Amino acid sequence: MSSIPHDRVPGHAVDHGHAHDDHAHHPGGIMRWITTTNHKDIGTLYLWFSFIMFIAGGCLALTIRTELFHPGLQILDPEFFNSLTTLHGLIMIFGAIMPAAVGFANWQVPLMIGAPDMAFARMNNWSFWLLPFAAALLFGSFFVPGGAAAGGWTLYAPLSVQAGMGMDLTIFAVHIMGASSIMGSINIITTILNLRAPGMTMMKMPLFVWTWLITAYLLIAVMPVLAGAVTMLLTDRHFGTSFFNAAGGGDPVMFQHIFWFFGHPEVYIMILPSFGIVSTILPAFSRKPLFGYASMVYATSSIAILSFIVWAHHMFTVGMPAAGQLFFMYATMLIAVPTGVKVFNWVATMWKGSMTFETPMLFAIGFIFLFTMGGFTGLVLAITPVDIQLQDTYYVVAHFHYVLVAGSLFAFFGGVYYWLPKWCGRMYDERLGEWHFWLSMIFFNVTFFPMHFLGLAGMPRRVPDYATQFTDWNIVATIGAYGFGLSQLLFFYIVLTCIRSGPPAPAKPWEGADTLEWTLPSPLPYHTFETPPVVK
Amino acid sequence: MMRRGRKADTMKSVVARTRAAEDRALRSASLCIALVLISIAIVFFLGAILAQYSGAPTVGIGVVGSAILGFLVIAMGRNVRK
Repeated sequence: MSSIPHDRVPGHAVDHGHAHDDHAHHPGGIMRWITTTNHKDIGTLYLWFSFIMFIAGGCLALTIRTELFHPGLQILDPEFFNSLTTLHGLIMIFGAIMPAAVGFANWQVPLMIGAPDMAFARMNNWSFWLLPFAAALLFGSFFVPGGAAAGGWTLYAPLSVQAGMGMDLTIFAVHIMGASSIMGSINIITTILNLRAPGMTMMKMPLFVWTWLITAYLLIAVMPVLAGAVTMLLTDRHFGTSFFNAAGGGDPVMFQHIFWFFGHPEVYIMILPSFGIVSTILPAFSRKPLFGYASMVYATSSIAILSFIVWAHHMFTVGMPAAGQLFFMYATMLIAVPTGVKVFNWVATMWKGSMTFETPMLFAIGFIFLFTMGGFTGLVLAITPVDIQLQDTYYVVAHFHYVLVAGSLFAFFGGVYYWLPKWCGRMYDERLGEWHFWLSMIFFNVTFFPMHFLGLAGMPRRVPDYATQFTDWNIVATIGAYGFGLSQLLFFYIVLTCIRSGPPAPAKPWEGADTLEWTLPSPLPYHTFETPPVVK
Repeated sequence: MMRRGRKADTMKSVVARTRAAEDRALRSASLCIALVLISIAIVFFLGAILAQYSGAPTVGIGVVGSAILGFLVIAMGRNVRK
């Protein structure tokens, strides 16, 4: 069952058209992937790209954790350590999580609304192929004089104004990734608004489509602001301007305001598509319609709108009037209301459902459990006096990893397991999938839960060395990180064996699934819904 | 027989013309949406930079923030009604 209410879109009422399924006119080999305009191919490219970036960013994280295994400097010099934390953040956010979400959108949005493809198929191809060049710039920055950017993923001025050539490459990479995101968003919004199947009104759309529509609007609004900020940074560095240079009359704090005006909505850009995936999986395995569909739509919209008025909670220690602190504190707490509505609705969806616990469902439940914990620590950090104590400590690191790893990433794993049988026409190994979930769940908590203790005890983030009283929990966190990293190799193995030699999947392997894609055969034909289905 | 064939041909061409017209309308509607979205992106990009020239950053941020909120409310409100 999906986010579409059952009484509105019964499976038998869908007249799907795929009369031309047999003719898959597309080039073979590498040219297929370079020149493709097919949304499924491009979705696949996005997902593989994000997985490669996830592994690369994960390797940087493991290097960081190796250095932190013991106090004192072990294997890295401090400057390089800072480069690793910076690149780890940038790669995971712009290279792994966002492209993965766009990959899901490419695969699923047209299928879920009964569209034959994305509205601008060629631009879709271009949006993807910009990304490898941006990634090359980011990784290439390690090899230029001065090394990669080392000012943190937030690229704060004035440090970023003074940094070496690696910062220029990072700025260009951010520009390119921003352009890719904006083009992708335009495509998604246009597809959803113009290419819905007859009868598919806005309030009949699956919740995944809704969350992506709202995410795309967020992207259109905030990515240009980031692009503007890094453009000013670039002109400060090379063209004699003083936007953020205090010596020339500029204001470095202004960079922080502009950055977080982008940065906080960015958090929701990364999490809203995950909300959509979880809202699709839970009803399917609870065999019940999603509880409170309309309230979920309004809650998602409310979260998006509120995300624009809370940015300065990242800057409580910078200095602002008491009224400003109070405003941003209460506004941040307000976001807990629509988020609470969503968590309540997910739990209510499962309540008295005929639940089964296949791998996608395990990841969805893991998501709710851990994301809620991350949300609660976010509420703790919203309280100004507490935040002033915990600013830039490992408590913050624990908080955002609970939101982004256990939140976004777990939902993406669940989404891959849920739709993989439809995408490739083969079933994955359920037993190994469950192993993947439990290993990820355990090692994730072993890695990040101790960071709460470290942060509360005062261990600062972004340091390669630390006081000896923090040693024990750092050892535990490093062991957990290696366990979590190795668990993801199991995910790679499961996906690979599924694609190559998994048993054939039926058209609808999940009894409770009822969105439009499940009316199509497995594997999906190369072209789908060339004749629009009629949704009654 | 000949008449029936001609009639069928005419029907086919009418259907083809209607489809082509529908495709053109859809394409122009898509382009229209894309242009509106691109222009919004450009306004925000230039707005963030030009706000710095105005000398009062809070005014700039306030204007851009209000524009975003207004845009979101209007865009979502319009589409929810559809």
